[in-house]
Amino acid sequence: MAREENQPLRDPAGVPAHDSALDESGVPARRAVPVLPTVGGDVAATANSLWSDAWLRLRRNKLAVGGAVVIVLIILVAIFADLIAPYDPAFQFGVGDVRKAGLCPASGRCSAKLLPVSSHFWLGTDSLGRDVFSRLVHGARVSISVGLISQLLIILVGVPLGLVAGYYGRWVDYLLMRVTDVMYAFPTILFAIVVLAVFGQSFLNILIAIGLTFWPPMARLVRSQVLSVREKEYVEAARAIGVKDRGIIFRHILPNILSPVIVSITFGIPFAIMTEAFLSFLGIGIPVPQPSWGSMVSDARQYMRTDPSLVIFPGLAISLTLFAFNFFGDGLRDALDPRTRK
Amino acid sequence: MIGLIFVLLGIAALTFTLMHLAPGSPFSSERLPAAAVERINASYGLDQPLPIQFVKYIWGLLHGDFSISYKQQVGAEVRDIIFTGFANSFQLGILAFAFTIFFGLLLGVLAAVGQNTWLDYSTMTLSLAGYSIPNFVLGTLLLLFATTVLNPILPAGLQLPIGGWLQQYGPGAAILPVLVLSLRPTSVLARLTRASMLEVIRQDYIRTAWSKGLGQRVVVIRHALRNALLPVITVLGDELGNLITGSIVVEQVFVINGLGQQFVRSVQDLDYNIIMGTTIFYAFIVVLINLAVDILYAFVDPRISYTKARA
Repeated sequence: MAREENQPLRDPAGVPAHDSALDESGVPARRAVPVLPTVGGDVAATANSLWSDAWLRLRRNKLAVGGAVVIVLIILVAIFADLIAPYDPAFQFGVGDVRKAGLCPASGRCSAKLLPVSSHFWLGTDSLGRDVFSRLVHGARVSISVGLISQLLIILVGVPLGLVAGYYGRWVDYLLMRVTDVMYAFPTILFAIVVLAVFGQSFLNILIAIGLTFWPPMARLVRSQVLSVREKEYVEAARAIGVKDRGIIFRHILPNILSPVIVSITFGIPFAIMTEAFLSFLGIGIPVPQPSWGSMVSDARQYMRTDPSLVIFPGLAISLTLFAFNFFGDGLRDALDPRTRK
Repeated sequence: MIGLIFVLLGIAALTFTLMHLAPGSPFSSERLPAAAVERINASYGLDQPLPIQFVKYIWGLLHGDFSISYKQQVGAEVRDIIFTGFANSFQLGILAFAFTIFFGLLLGVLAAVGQNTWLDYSTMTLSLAGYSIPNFVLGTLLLLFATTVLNPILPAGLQLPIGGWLQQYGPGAAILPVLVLSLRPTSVLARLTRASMLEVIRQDYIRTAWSKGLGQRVVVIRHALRNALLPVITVLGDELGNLITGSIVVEQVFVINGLGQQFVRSVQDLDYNIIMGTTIFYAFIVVLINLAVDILYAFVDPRISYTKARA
């Protein structure tokens, strides 16, 4: 009964309770402002201003905007790889194809392998006679999907575990902390290598290896954030008016720990992309006929002196992708964390 | 201490489980008749139930016995294999670590002191770029540069060795691998040092130091940097672990015969004891470094005391 009477007082304009909570965590400097007497409309205004404020600050950061543009372009390339790539990335052209295209020299041997840049093969062909441009374009698809899907896996595992461990504590927390202790001492790349060796080389198994390797830091991050938010007054208030655990976790705690999680994901994507490239470079990543920027660099090393472009193009592609994500992530972190504003 | 032992045991158990989940056995790829494989397995004790194998392995480990290699160097002591490979990885890691500390701190402090100047912007942008270039790309490109551009114009004695390590090729062989390996941690450290310095520089005691008329060097190094070091040390610990245990790709690119290379080969061969030995050994190093970091805290910040219960 008392709760229903209180409801209009706290919430005259029908503003959801978590909005006031949002205001508080996002802008710690304003914590001194009393929450209760504010009019609903004001609460909503400040609540929106955290995200719109961040958006404004992000837009002003030229490097971050540049990063975002490049990311969008690369994602578009990844989505429309089939339309952009002129050939099947795994197809090995033969001498006959090259002769038909009139690329054979008038005299001497003719080969479809290691061809230079031409109107037929925009970036030439590799040591097996495959079109480098098509492989680069499809490599973007592999990299982007590894980056995005692995982060999705990490969120799905790490966030709920971190929430439960941080909120309920006890044995869940104890168990999680012991598991993450073990995983922290396990050199990450060794673990990924062992996992891939166990499950075999495939796209899905790379996702599994990356997901298994990187969920503990996410769980730990969420847990530590929950611990710092759990004892805040607004959570106590929510509990006092009888909000159930689930409501507290999802409507009061989760919105308040979002920004570090978002930042961690933005940096996690390039890290996952790099891990895939790294594993493929070692020859234990994406299985062979499929193109991956990492294995392209690795394959091309033998022909580096005579055909340096074979190393340079995939190397540039992956570096550019990682630049873009890291610059964007850096800008996003500054935008979301008002404390770094100086 | 009990925590550390738990962690190491956990890693041993995890690796052991994963390893035995892998399809096949060390000898299944050798096209031997089934009876022969069975005999070999029996002679190595691989026919026993897994829990017993695990306990036996750990028991041996506690007595300093890393057991022997089944595939890579048949019959050789894994302890010797690890130490031989690790010697190179360790030298590489330590050199890269020294490079990282020096340049990371230097760039971070310079960027913080010159906040919002071109120096700051270029250091921060470059470090983000350095953070983004994967090891293997940079290493390969540098090798390309050294072979095609640099070495042809350098006098005969000064040419950079392409691949190999100190024993055969002298100190020159370390230049490129160390540069490549330390670029990423240097970038991380520079950014972190800058951020930490910027927080400290705003403190009252720094203003006091300035108003006392102390010179810039004294204020920046003795007053600011020392106080800015605490978060830096945590990251340095992680990076040292990464540098020592994470040089696999650099070893591959520069053909350095290190433990990382050895590890990749033995995983592909399912050489059980090398896989177990290497992971436990590396984990032990990581754990030791973490312990050292905790102890170092107390030196850098006398307020931290481990005799009181930690919150």
